[in-house]
Amino acid sequence: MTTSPNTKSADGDCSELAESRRKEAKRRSLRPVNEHFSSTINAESANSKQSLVKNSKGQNSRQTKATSQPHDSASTHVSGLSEYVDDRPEMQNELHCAVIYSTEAHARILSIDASECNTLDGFVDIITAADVHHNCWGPIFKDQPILAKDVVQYYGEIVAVVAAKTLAIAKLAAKRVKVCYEPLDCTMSIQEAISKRLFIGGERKIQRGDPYAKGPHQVTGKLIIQGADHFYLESNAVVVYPRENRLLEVHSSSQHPTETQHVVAEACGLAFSDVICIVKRLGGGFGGKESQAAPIAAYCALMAHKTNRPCRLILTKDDDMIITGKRNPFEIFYDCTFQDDGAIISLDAKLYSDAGAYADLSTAIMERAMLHCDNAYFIPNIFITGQVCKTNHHPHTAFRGFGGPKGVALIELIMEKIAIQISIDALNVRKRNMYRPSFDITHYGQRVENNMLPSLFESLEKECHYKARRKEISDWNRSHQSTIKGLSLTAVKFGISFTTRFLNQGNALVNIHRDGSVQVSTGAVEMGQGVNQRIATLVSSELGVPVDLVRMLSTSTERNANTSPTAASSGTDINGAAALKAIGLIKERLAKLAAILSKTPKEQWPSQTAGLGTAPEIELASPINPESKELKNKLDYECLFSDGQVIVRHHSSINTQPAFSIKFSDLVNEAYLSRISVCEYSHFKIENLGFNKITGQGQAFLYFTQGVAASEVEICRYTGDVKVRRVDILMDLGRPINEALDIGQVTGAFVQGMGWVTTENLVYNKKGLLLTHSPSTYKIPNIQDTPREFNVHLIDNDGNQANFKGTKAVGEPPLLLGISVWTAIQNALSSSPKHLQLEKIPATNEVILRAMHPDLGWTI
Amino acid sequence: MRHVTTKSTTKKLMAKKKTVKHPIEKKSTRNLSAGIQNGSLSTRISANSKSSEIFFYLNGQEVRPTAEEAFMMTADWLRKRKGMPGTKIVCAEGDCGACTVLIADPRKESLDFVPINSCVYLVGQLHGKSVVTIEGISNGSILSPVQNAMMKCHGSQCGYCTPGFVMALTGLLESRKMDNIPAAQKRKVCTNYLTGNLCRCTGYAPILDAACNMTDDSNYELKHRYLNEKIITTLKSNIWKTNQMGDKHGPTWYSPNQLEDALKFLKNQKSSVKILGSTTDLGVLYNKGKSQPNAFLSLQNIKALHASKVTPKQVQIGAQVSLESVRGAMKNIDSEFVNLLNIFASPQIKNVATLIGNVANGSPIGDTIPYLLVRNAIVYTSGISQGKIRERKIPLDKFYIGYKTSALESQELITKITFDRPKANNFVRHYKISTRKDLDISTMSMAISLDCEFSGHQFTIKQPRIAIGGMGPTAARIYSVEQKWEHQILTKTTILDLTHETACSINLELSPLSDHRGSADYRRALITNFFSKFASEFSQFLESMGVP
Repeated sequence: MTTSPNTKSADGDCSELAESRRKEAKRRSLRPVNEHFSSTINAESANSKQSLVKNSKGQNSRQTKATSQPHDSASTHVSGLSEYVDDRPEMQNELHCAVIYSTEAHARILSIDASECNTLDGFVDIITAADVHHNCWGPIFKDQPILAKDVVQYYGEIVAVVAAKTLAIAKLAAKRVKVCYEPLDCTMSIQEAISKRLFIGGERKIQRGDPYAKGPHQVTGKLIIQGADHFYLESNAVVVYPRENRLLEVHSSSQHPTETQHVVAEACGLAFSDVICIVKRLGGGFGGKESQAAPIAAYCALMAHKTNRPCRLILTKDDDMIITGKRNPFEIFYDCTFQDDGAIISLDAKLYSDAGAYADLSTAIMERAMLHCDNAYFIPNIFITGQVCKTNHHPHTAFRGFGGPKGVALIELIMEKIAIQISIDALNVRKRNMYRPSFDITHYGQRVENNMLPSLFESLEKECHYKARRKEISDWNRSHQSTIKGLSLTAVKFGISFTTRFLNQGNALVNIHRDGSVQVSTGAVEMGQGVNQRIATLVSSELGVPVDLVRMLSTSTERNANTSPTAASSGTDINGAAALKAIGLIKERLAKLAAILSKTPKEQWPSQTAGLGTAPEIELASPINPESKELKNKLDYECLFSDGQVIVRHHSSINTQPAFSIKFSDLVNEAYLSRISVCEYSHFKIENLGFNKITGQGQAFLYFTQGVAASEVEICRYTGDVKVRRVDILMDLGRPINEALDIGQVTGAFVQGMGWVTTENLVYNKKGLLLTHSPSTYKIPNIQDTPREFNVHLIDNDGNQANFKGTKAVGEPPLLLGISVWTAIQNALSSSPKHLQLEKIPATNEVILRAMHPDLGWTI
Repeated sequence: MRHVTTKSTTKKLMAKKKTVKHPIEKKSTRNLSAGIQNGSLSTRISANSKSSEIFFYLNGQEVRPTAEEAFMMTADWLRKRKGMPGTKIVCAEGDCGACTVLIADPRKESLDFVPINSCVYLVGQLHGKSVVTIEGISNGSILSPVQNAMMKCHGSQCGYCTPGFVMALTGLLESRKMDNIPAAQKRKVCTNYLTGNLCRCTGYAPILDAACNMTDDSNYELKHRYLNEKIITTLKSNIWKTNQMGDKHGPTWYSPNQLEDALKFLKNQKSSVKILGSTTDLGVLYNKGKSQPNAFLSLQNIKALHASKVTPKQVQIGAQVSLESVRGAMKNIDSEFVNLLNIFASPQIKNVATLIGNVANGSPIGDTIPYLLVRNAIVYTSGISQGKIRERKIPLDKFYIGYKTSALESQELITKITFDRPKANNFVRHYKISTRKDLDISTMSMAISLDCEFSGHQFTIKQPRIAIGGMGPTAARIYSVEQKWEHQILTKTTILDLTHETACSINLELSPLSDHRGSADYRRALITNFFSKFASEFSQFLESMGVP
């Protein structure tokens, strides 16, 4: 992060321009009328029931002014005016595409016959593997065809794409394409893949300590973790416009516009520069559109390129769910030993994941799972192996948490099992093992800096009345016939950074216009998380202009190339830092200009003379080097960007003359007239990362986001039905840029995690067809499933030195707290005399009932 | 991961497959008016009755859709034909609520705007209604109280579900004053109203905040804007009139105002006719390419079918009565039925889906069927025979003859259903289990009803009725058990033995399937446990009656 010489900034909203902008906006479009609103809603009280920000040091300790601004698209979202890919109006002669996918898990393609389509009025074209220029892609290994050639490897693999004048005709044409298959031997489970030794990549290891060190007690077992569908509401969508001279303009619902651009270009045989990928916003992504949006964009682009007509491909929810990969299923064999007091001595875990048919991101996901097997706990002797298995399922992919949840589920399960075995409260086992001073080096050799875990555990235990409720629950379980209750308090310590170093870079373009309004574009994709609002807040606060004046542009490879996916919770971290760097450079130039203007008679200012050439042009004397401390010390003035004004104070005359002040927009104009740039492009990279994937050791992460959650569940003894009665979450998010948006991430991620461990059940048939491929059968949490009482708090932590402005990433970590619902179910089941347990995610009603009533004659 | 091979695709629906051939079919066709056999649809229909075109209001503007448009789903039509993409489509099956719009139907007793799923609602069905979409909510440039609350409380993240939530919450504000809801109940009322909307970003907490912080503001009431006197008058003059659409190239739309005309149409259409109660299930099949009927027969303009009646002993529900109306009618009459309807489907579905639709669908799980079975329901059907309307009364337990097949003949319609009101000494329980509690099709459901005779400190069971759904090709009564239970004298110990024995015998008798909702073993285990639960609840009841 850069700092400008002696420039300071603060928020403000009294600029005239902003006022006129607001008036204009009010007249033209839908904007909230604050006067009207303030009388009707009290936002403070609205939040206080659900989500309070705990601020032990008092409200003034943090810059709170802009920290609860609504999402920058909130007003258009609530009005239905936000534009998504399929909301783009249809162009004249636009074509609609439909996909033909494999109906076999593994088969040779004998023939593709589209002759029956030709008789269909309105049918235009079909493309198959033969039409693809470079028919191979993959985010890590290039192992996947864009359109299947000769062989299909999963049910749902795209074989051909048809285009027609209307969607109805395209769908009809797709049905008329006859594909003949010769089924081949298929592998449908991790167990099968292990026995056939079908693996992707080699076995990975992370280890520390003495492999022979053992404690007096032991828990062992096998944990089976199913996948989960992302269930973003907006299914994958693409519109492609062929522009002149081979240029393709791709509008895609992609979390990774750069990769989409590259895959499209290679598929079409174009240079990367011949393809522009634009993403305005996503109707949810959650990792599902990180890699897998790219080939879908390529189908549509190939058709547009071939026909030279605008093309649209919108997957239905059913097709999207059948075609695209999910969270990787895992099977974990574990053996953990510990002392009498529950202190873990050793953990030996073998992780196997189901990648599906192609590598996609599975090896990186496995790596993060292995890196998170410790979660919040210090394990002195640890031996973890990871092996990715190849099966004939859809290729599984990134999903919020990216492997982390699997490692964390394992160790949190072990905590519960240790507690049962030595008959102490699981919370005591956790506190006994948590990272704490002197016990703060992870198994991959990174120190847990700024470790808040001990205080998080302590605070939440107190605030959620853990002990009292534990007693109430024990009493309940003794005295009630029809339901049993469970309570569990788990933690998360989530590593922030891509574990692949080169992805930890971002860039930003900031254009300030002559009226003082600002446009910012970065590589970050807005998918609901509020990255745009956060970056706009940072920028407006740095420039001292109202956030209304900062417009975040769509993510486009035209403006920001070679970007990383918006993933790994890193969107704001890397792109916000890049934007700050650009702003710093602009501010430095503006500050110098303001200092010069302050000593220049107004009649000689460029606005008075530049057109006439009557005064010499203002030159910014010294070369710009923001890192130069010497330069800063030499400066004899300070400059403040605040309230739409730029204020200069000369040290020499600080007591004799009033400060010089100029309107921000006027200063920008003077800069332009002086031929000084008020635009900037900056590149940012995260320093000091060094994780060696071969040795499994090193600085894998920049910092950790931490949190704890206590969940209480009530289970019907007759049906296995689970109710989540109460959830308390306490998180360390450093100094949030926007607390309300952060809390929204916490509640959303938690409920998503809760769905994964309870009701979300992927059921496949023998051919690998997903049977639960729509919301009528695949059950994400409904509003009725949310905790009856749901308290979310943030702690005050100004100590995160690793990231700019002491912020911490929030996107993924709270999802892992959803695991507390699963361990609470474990806890409830363990209250029975037999200490019943389940070692499966999700814990559906059926799974729970099986665990509760092993006597009911289960045959399968 | 469990691999299963069967898949049930059942839902609430009105349509009836042509599975049962009636012997008098050919004979009676000739007896009907000669003009119907040949010629275009318009001449055929206009020969029978006066008709008018499809007409409704969209955000206060009059709309007369073309024939082609009448067969589109409302959400598609709004997005692709009206340039109103604010209404989103996610699942196209009425399970996510992103497509929620509000309709007011002057055919109903109370003329309120209620939320529906526009992805499974044909444009033709909008006839005579006032429709409001997300584009019609704000007042010029000023956001409505719902929109403001959603914005201020951060109720939207990615925004894709947001229009649907705004519409559902607007429906809530239209139906009741927030100020009148006690603070303690607000959360529950709002939660119940939002059961039909899925959100994947927020975890619902901020949305619930927004809902609880909405304020009443009469300036934004849609009734004032989209149901003014002129609109109501115009709509009322258009309902209860026959309308039809279509030519020989496309499908046929027919919505008569007389039952007789509907029956004649059914009789004379050679191609596949789908009967529309509300299209909440047919719409799903239509969207997913599983049903492409040539003709739609809508019953909504037939006034007689909208009637429901509660007598001292019985309840009678017409074919066009929505589940929401049934729920209203059952309040204070049959609380167990109300409980069942509370967790059945979503408000959006219940506002249009009909009880008869659920019955006609004949799903083996059947949602309401097991309960209606223990309430001795009787299905009333009508057909044309010898040029006259012929009515049949079929007890519900004789109605289903196999998987999704019933005693309903291809040229018959269900006109109404009757069922018993609970007697004072009735003890009834309905149990349903599904993957998710709300808005989910049951894995299994069971209803048990007993009349209890109390004499000389002992309880005797009279008229026990037990029905189970999800354990075979149809939901069905378990007569063998009922016989065993009849006249049994119950105490807290005998009920345990009786239910245990019953569960064992039922599990021997029935052979449920494994599917994506649950394994056969799970279903068997549930039978056992449902009876245990019943025993426990019945024991408590006995205790409260002072039985040892």
